[in-house]
Amino acid sequence: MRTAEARGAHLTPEEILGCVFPEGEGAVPVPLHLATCPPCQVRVTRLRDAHLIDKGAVAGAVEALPEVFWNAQAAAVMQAVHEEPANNVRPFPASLRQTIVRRPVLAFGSLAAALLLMTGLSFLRPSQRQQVAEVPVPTPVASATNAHDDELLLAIDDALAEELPFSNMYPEGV
Amino acid sequence: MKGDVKTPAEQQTSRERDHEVVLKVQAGDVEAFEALVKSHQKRIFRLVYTLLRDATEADCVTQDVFIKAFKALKDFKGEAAFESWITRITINTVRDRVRRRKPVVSFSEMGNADDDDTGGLPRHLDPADGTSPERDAMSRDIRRRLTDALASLSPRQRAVFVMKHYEEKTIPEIGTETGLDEGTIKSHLFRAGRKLRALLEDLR
Ligand SMILES: [Zn+2]
Repeated sequence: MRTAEARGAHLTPEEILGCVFPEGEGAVPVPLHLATCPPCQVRVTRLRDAHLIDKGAVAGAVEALPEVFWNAQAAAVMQAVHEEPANNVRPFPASLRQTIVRRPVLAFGSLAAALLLMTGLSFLRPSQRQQVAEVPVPTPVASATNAHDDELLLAIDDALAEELPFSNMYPEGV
Repeated sequence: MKGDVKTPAEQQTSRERDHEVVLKVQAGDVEAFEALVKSHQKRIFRLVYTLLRDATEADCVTQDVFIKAFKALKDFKGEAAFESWITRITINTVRDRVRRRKPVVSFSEMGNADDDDTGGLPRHLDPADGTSPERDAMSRDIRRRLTDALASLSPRQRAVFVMKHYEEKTIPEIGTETGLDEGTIKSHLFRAGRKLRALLEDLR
């Protein structure tokens, strides 16, 4: 198949994609045409920018998650792991998801922790937060700050539900 | 994206450390498993999140992966690195998860695509920063279409594509972590490229 370059035309979409997402490894041969054609340079740059934005956004969003999120996730796994041999439970019962979102704050019992968690919660879909909020609260771990923390978290949930960050970002179609 | 790039020596050290922990868990020390979770949870979560683009779902899948790994650990022989083994579990878990779903919402309906295209990225880390607003807007529109196009790939095509172009893995590394041979990986990348090309036809 003759390349667009050989035909004297602009780069084809395939060639533009090949510049940004090479199939092979190592150095990618750049079409000569690209060096002399500003419109094609713009097309390649836009796609490259788009990819970098997307890649950076994903990495940045994950890096921005607070430590409480990772601690809660590890704790939830360990809880399920401990329950597993005795009860043979399936992972992620609704009550566990509730725990994932709420228990870390109970461990800290402070506004600072709640604010940290807020960053994590802003990462969640509002519909999921709603779902979480509707799950019956499991018997709380004994803590003098539980009631206060739960109130605080409900207030945070309400506030976040109005912001609608990341709404509908769930790719059911994948 | 490859924020956890390790030198060969570091890879060897972390592999040995993982192996020691695996042996402890296999010997009945359940608590030791937490060290494996802590070492790998961020990387696994990031991979799942890149594939699914939903943080809650990525959280659930990540936990599911570790629980599956724990259950299967008794059969883990240590022939492959734990990191590769658990990545393979991750890819399979995401694939199974995706297969159970019907297409409903596309990536372009991501709330952040409209409001804050950085996906929570601090502004100063936004790679588009410093360019003209027109160029930013154009790149963001293309980003939206790119993520839509990614969502249209089969789970395996997407996994291979993401591992290569987001996680910056080499084809042999992808092979180790997916269990696919080089030819199959290249075929997935080729098919993914064809689909993307069709969806981004007007980039011409
Ligand atoms: Zn041109």
